[in-house]
Amino acid sequence: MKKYLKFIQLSFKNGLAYRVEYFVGTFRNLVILLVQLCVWRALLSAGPVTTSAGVVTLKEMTTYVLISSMISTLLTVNVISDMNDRIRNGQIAIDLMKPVNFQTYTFCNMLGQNMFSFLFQLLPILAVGLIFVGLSFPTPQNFLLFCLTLVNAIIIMFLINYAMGLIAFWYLRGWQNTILWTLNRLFSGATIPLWFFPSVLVTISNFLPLRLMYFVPISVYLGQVTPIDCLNLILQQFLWIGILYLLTKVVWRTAINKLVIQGG
Amino acid sequence: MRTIKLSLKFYGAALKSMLEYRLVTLVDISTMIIVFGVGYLSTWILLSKFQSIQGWTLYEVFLLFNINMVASGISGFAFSWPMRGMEQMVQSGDFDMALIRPMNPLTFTLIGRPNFTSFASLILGAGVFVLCFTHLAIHFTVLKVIFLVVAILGAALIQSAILVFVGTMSFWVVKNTATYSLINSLNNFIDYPITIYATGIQAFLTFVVPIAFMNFYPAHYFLDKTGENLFFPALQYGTPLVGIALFIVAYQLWRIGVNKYESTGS
Repeated sequence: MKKYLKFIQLSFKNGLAYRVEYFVGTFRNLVILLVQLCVWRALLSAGPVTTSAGVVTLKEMTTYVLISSMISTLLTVNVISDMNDRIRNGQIAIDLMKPVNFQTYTFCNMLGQNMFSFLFQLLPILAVGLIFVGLSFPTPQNFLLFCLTLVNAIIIMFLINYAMGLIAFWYLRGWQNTILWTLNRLFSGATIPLWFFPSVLVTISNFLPLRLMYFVPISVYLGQVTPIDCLNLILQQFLWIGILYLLTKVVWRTAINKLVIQGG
Repeated sequence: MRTIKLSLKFYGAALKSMLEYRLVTLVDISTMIIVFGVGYLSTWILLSKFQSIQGWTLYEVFLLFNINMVASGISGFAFSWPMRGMEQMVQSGDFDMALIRPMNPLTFTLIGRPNFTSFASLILGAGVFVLCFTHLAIHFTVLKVIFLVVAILGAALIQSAILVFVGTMSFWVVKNTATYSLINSLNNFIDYPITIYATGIQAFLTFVVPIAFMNFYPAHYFLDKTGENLFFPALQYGTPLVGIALFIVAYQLWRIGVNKYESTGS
């Protein structure tokens, strides 16, 4: 347990070392946030619009975009590129010799990064939101449920990334990141809430775990989910965590037999 | 003439190596199609719900998106990989090679690493253009067709100038990947008509980092939109000029950078 805490700490410190990446990342987040805010202001300036979730106002959408931007700092992780690098340069051989579980080790690395993102990336967006835009606050009960669904979302994100990262054992090239990021932006509801989706796309996203990461926590935050539905959604999150965890175990078992270390 | 002959030789070799790695090529092309496809899909979701954004309808916004995509595809073919790879070339001292060849260092750097997969975006782009034209009822004149081609080439020059600028930065700062992501993140602005932003941002995208000339201004002329909310109505014809001017500036900076370059030694 102690060694894993050390990993988290090291990964956090690692974040502090990459200052240029940090500034570029923050700039990028703020640009995307600004574009989103302006798009919704242009679309909703004529007045609120009726959707499957009832009437949506500009204030509500502003909060949606801000929360989405904030949690994206926690849900954007470089698990895949990290694993690709390790497998490409053979570092994985050394990792496997260490008396640690590789999956837990990767998870700890991600948690360290997350703590860094929380402090240095999420808080600037929160500040922007509070000072310039105006953010609605949830009831304490909804806030607690939001935190719970968000923690589950982070675990789901990790498991999906880890499973995709394991593909590097067969095919070495960093493409998974781009595809996952792109599909996730759409089907998770990170940029457009699922209320606006045509029914075909809603059906597709109901079969995917992606909406459990952005759309569900944000809807809970906005108080659009009744307690009983919320319970149902949390159960769905647990179900997906179980499925994905089993998947990573199966893929790992196959991958480890396949492993060829490069170099000599 | 000799340069063209040489480039063809280099491109032939690169094409052969690409066909050798079929899976890689296939994955690269599908990734690209998914990325752009999701972009179109998102715009479609929003605008089939809201009909228009600041007076721009679905296919008009598609046209904005598409001009940008095709122009980036053209410039990406020659410029993307070599210029983004400059960081590594300078750090390792491999850039020495470009200086001892009997040809222009920029040309030499460019012809070595063409990106054939960026042609995939041209094919996708042609399809979307047809889709847009059938829905938009544009009154075509010879002048308009010529202008569209010239505007796309101008937009490709703007994008190329930016990439040359990114490559040039690696003569001074170690991290040009950061420069690239920084400038690249601004591209998020031009996915929509820039009139949705505050005047300050519009001015920034017009006069400081003039990427609005890649799609917003030429689309104005092409779609017969009134220019009353532009800074100057004449800006809608500016793309080719801005492209040439920007490229000349980027090339001069590149030359200063090359003169400043000192190899890593040893």
